[in-house]
Amino acid sequence: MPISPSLYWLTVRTVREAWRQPGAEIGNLLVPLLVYAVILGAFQSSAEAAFGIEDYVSFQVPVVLLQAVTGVAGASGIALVGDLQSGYFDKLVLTPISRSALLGGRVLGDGVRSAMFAALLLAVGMAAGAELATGVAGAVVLITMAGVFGCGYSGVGLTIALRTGSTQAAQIGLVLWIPLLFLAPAFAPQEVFAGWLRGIVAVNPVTYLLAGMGALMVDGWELRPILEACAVIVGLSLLSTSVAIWSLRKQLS
Amino acid sequence: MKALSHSPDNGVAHGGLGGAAQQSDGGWAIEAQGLTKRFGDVQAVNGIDLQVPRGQIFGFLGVNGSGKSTTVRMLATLMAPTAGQARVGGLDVATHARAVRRKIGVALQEVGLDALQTGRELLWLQARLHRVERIEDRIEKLLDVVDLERVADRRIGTYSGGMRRRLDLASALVHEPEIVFLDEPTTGLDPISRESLWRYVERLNQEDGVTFFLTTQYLEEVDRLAHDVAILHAGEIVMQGSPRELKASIGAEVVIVELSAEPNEEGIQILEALRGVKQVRTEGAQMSIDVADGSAAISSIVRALDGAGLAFGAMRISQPTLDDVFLRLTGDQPER
Repeated sequence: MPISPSLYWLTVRTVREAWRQPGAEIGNLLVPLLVYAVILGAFQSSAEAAFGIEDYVSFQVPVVLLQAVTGVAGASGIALVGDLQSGYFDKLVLTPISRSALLGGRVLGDGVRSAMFAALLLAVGMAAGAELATGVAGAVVLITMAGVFGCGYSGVGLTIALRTGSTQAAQIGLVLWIPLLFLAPAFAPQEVFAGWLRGIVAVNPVTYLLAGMGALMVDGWELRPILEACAVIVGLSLLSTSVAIWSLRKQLS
Repeated sequence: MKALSHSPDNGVAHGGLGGAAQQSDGGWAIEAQGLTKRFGDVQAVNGIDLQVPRGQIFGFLGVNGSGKSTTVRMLATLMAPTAGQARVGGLDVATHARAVRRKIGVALQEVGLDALQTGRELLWLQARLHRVERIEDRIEKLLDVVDLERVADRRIGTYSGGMRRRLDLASALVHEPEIVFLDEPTTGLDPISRESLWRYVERLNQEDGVTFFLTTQYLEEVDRLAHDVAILHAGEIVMQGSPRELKASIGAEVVIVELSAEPNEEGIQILEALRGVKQVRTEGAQMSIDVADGSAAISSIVRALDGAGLAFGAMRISQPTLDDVFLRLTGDQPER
């Protein structure tokens, strides 16, 4: 087993917990699909003339994947607040496992779920006519990126939960993504943004995520955007989980 | 604080157990010196000194808000003290928290369970995290002890309050800890479940030498189970000793008088002024008078009641209970 047994079993618990709430999981699947259908219905026919995007169906797949991931992993804070408020988290704290494993199980569980949702939605996108320029290997990279991004985004929700202990505050994890998405070339290329917005778009990490994942979908193995996207994902994951673990240590000290 | 007995090998006077405290190595299971916790301006626990011998059932008695749960959380490594030190199982809770957690089992006041897991899954996960060997056997044994075999594969969200409490206890014991903290373990339990839990605690203590640190507001609980008791009031231990010693400390006997109405202040003062009367306490129309010798005092008490114009019905002499001790020390009414 490549990870510690404690981390493995806590990851299993996170995944099982999610599957035992099918209503939430179905919502995590249907909402991005609905948005995908609406965006395609609204822009697909005019995308080439308006934005110069030939394959809008494929162009939108990374957006759908990331939306699903943020839905899945953004609820991590809510789940943690539930554990904190029920007292179950104390029960876990009282076991002789490391602090990082306490949160790691939820982070990894969200990562696994994110990858599963990404695989499912990628298949739906392909069925809808999307093409994957990098083939099966590209699909594996895309799904892995979605999974690791899920870990990173989970850490954001966990930090909010640990700092506030509030379900209402933890819900920020679900909506934090929305302004970042609209400030990135998610629906149209960067060139169509107003001049004053382009600076923000250029520093928005989601811009690099979409560029890398979009390259895998549409352009092929263009290393620079793919590596930049990987760097953003890994950086976010390390940062958010480190801050979450620090927050836990602070709370328990 | 009044300490009535203490030494790790002092042959502790027992409550209802008839003497079962075991001293495996003469050491303390739990020690605290100056243990303090402040939350902003609120002094939750104020410089507690505590020594609990190994193999003992130690009762920690106090009303809500007296600092019992905060003390347990500090001793169980869930909360860092503001000041002071504590050792559990011979290990400092601040510097060896992880090692302490291997030695202890904890059932907190708030039953902390995951409603989406089944009872068996929850025990299984706890056992895994504690690296228990032969998990299946251990879980089956525990489920049998807490009488949850039939519902073990149901989700915890469907359990009654009593079932949840029993599962919580089982999860605290899954790794066979040498020291167990039970924070108000019988709150909300029906009398049958309460009796069953008491018997199990007694059995673990007597057969396996498990040390229990038991917080409660139920005086009968510590009277039945505890070898030693500390009474906590406003974050401080106001008395410590065996239940027998604590009862003996307030006077040899208590004269209980059932009045026809609540007594007035003047009547109480007349009784308090009587020779041999240590204290007069009232609860509604019931008056409890602590005296050195009940038989000798009863005639003067009757005359004083007549003189004060206090009509009364029944009158009896009883041995002091922990209720009497508690009321005298804290002025608070314990739970019944």
